Amino acid sequence: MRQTLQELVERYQNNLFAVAFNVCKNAQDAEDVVQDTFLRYYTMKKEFDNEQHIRAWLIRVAVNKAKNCNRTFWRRNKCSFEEYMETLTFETPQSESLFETVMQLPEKYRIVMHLFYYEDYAVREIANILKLSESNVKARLSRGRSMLRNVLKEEWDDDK
Amino acid sequence: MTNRERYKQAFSALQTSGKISLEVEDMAKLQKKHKKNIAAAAAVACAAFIGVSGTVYAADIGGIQEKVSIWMYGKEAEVVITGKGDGTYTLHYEGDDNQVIGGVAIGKDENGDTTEQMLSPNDIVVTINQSADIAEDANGHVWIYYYDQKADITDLLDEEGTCKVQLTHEGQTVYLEIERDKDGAFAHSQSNDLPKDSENYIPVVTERVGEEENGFQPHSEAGGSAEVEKAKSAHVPAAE
Repeated sequence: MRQTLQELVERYQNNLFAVAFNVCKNAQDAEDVVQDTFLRYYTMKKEFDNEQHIRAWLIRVAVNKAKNCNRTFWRRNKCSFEEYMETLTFETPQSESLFETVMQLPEKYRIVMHLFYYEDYAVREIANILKLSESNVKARLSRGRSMLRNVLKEEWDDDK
Repeated sequence: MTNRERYKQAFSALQTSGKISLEVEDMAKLQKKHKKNIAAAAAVACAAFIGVSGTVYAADIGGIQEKVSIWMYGKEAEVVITGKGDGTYTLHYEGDDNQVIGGVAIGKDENGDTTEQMLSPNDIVVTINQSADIAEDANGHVWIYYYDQKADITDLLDEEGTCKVQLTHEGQTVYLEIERDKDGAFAHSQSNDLPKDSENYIPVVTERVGEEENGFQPHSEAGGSAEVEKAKSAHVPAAE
């Protein structure tokens, strides 16, 4: 199956932006990643099984593209992470604190945490998207949670 | 409130600017622009090869031109190098759209003075070719490329993303120490000299890169920054 570009942009642009930002920590790069990801979808004549298949594919492409941004020599730094933070509006101080703490985690923990907590993916699905083993995903999730708990204390529960 | 609800609330602050274009023509232009930026970055990065900081200017092509072949990610590409005889050079790579792209790099020493070191275009080419490339493909496999050869080293990387390997090319053994950094990129050091801990260097068997493979985009779903990576990962002594 295929869905129209317009449907996908309306539904997933913010999710893809969040996942890309989570990886590359730069709003401009993340915007480019979102645009490139949709272009990739448009130019690739791949058939998908269902909408979840499309969503997982879009996220995987966005993650890969965002990782590539990190690798390029010519990274844009017109707007630093700190400057961009000042433009964001958080509902509560706790939200801001959580956001900042997550973004200070190493990338390999951040992306797993994001797919689990924001995109509601199960460990098996995250492993499939990131091409990691399930045990590796579990280990990263556990380590990421532990790091958050150490910093955020009672603002982050001891979940399993 | 659960952790998941807290997380979603925090990250709901992230929103696109709403400027995502649905027009295919616009998207194609953006992609083209992106390709040009990458190519320009490659030219700048080559200045870093030779141990100088690069300053890039738009310039007319002039001087003695030399068309050379360089190996990047297992594929041979033709590049025009123009030496201008004053320590500057241009690197031109002909892109898919047949537009010539390039920049001029002027070497400067640690004091910021223009270097008087004459740089041989051939030196640059040799340096590029003798540096291995490491890249992860869209399927999560990590490959090492050396000239037209490649080897899958995915299973050799430890939990920290490091490994030591040796490969043989035309009778010469090359020792590489590879490390994945926190951002997922690969850095490596490389030597033809036998390391003290040579027993820790795992021999890898290489295979020829297939003709059908696109060596310039090892990460096929992630756009192409291969040229830039090539430049970044080279390890050569600084020019004096």
